Amino acid sequence: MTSAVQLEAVSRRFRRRTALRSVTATIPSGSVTALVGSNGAGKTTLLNLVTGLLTPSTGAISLFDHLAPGSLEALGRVAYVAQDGPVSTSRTVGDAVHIARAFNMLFDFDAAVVRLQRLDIDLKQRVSKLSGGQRAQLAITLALARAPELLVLDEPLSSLDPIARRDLLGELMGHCAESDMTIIFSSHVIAELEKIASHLVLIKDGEAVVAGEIDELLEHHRIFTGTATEAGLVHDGHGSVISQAHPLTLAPRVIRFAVPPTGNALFAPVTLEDLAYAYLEHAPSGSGELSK
Amino acid sequence: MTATLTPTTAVPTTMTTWLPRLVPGILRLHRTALTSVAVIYLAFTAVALTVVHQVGHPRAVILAGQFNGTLYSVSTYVFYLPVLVAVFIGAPMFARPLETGTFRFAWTQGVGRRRLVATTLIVFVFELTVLSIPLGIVLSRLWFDLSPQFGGVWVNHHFFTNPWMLAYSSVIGLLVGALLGVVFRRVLTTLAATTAMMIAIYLWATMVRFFQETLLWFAQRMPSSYAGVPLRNGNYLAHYDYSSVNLYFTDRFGHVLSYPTLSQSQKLALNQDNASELRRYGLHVWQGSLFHAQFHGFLMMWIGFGVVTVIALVVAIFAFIGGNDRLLLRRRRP
Amino acid sequence: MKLDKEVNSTHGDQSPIRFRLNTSSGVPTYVQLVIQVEQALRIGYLNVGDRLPRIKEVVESLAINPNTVLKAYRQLETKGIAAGRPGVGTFIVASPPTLSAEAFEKLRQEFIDGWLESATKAGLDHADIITLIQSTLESLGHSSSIRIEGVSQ
Repeated sequence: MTSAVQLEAVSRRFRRRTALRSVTATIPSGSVTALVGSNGAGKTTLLNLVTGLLTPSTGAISLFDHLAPGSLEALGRVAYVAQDGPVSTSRTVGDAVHIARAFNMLFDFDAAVVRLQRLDIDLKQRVSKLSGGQRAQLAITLALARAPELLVLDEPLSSLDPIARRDLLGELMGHCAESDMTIIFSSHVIAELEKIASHLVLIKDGEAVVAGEIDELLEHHRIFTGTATEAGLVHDGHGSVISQAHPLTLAPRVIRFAVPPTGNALFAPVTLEDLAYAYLEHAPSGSGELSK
Repeated sequence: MTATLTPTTAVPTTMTTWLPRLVPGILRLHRTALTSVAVIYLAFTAVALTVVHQVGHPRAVILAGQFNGTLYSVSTYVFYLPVLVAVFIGAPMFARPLETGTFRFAWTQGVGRRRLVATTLIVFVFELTVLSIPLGIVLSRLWFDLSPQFGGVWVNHHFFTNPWMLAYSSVIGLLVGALLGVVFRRVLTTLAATTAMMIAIYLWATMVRFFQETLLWFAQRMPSSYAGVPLRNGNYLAHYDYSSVNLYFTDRFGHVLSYPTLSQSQKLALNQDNASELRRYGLHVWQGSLFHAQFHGFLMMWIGFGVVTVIALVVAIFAFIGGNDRLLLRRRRP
Repeated sequence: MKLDKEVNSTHGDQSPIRFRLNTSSGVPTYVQLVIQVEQALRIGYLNVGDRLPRIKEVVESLAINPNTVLKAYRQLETKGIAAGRPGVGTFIVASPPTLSAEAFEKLRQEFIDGWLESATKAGLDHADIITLIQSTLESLGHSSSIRIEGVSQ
């Protein structure tokens, strides 16, 4: 099995708007994929499609090479922590853990209890009285206890404090080191991604403007500081400028190359943040996405 | 937390594998609702049993025209139990997880949404059926013993509070609430819609004429098997004892008459247990085989009305939770 | 990516080195790890025969992708400093070639008096110099070069 998730021209329309248009991407198994985009861009819709809560309007999604999202086999292997960490409408935390065990053939009850203890979440506590961060941690606990092959998280860090964030990321990376777990998480904060993510999918207005391995993406982009004309002269037709700065100002411009340029001292390497911002601000021109 | 668990994805899991694991979880998840239902139904059964004790010998009661106030109130409340079940148990069942978003948890678990919904419904239907039967038996027995002279009202009470009617009306109430919950996906809206729907159903059922005409339609098509006084269309007047409360009277044109509209002589003929007299007084009697409690035709009640409704509601629920995601998921944030 | 699966893990068998990360330095993470290993060897924190931390431990404490650590360890293998033993771990097999203090100072002076003076005279500033060195190393195929960004005084 090489790919955990395969999206082929997936689009999703709702009554009055199109949330996603023709998204094509492959998420390899074992990867850590960051799904980035502004609010309302379509990240949650994409995650709902991957986890089987929604079906695509057009196109196809396959999990683990041959499974349909939402099929019983897929459900057993995919764990989803949706935004705000929903759990069952149970009364207590302990109830929630028992119920999660009832709902899954594969469930490590003891490990879930241990993790909750480590986080100082009392089993007798009422779920409705948990803080946002605690509820998120509970949802994550229940997901991890299922030992999923694919873990999908919708903005998991937003309700966590910085220490909890770092601890969680460390824990998830530990899981990746040990097993073949694939992780997809959505984020609208770009700063921390470069450390943990191996792949990036950037969604802007429902389109996947970037989808690929981060190292390769960084290899194929450079920054040039200057006017638009100068930039054009320097890349000499081998690249296309992504950044949307005013043509006459001396601004840093992110340039995409089909073939990684060598030996040109006027280009500087680009960081993931530069790249993401450039694409997110870039007006859609149908230039297609960089898919690897 | 390590990946030391043995994946069972290669092993096909069927409902029988899942049920023993799943049912305790459902019981725990719906603990409050299930307990409330049990408490209410059992409480009513207990109260009704005390009334049985007080009522005494059946015949004496009929002749004395005694009427027991407690039984009347108990029956009245029990009559409306399906509404309670629909509004407080059925309506929030799926509306709450759909509104709060916790369905995103439940429907991405290994069990899958269909098995989850099916098992939840099965658990509640089972409980309602099992609890309805003793309650219904006690109440029916009591009503059988009372005079039919209380007119249309008692017909409704008796009709709804015999075991099978109570079971399937409770179940239908539950399913109506559950279905509306899946349709509207918001608790308050569902509560309002369920209340309205139950009022509509009850109005239709208690407008004696309409309901009886409808049930008559079924009755005319159901076979009967008691010999006795032959009626139109091959139906027969049943054995004329206290089961007579199940009979529908029509005039010679086939229009249903309610008891209060009978003339004195007609009522006398009825009370005198004289079947052959009835026709003399212009009463044409339809065998209420559909609703005759002691008749093995009680099965007809299910087939004729209850089962079809129950199946239709369940199918509708699954249609709404199934493929048409447009109705289920909408954007939550601007 | 199943890495460092310990078959016989002994409690207390800790690697002597603990990695730290400077996220704002602009230096790629895997390069930082390589440097820390080399420095630890130079100082004597690490010796030949010591085991490098298990990838799982490193990523848990630093919250970085296991691939990054893998890259660093592979880099060390390429340099001949470390070697992986499947199922057991990655071990130090040799020290990095150390420059003597005099040789280091000689090279430094050569750089200052020679090329650096010409470059400064030609008008290159700090950032230009770094960019030039960076891209030259890259183009010459020195893939392990450090990517330096920004201006640091």
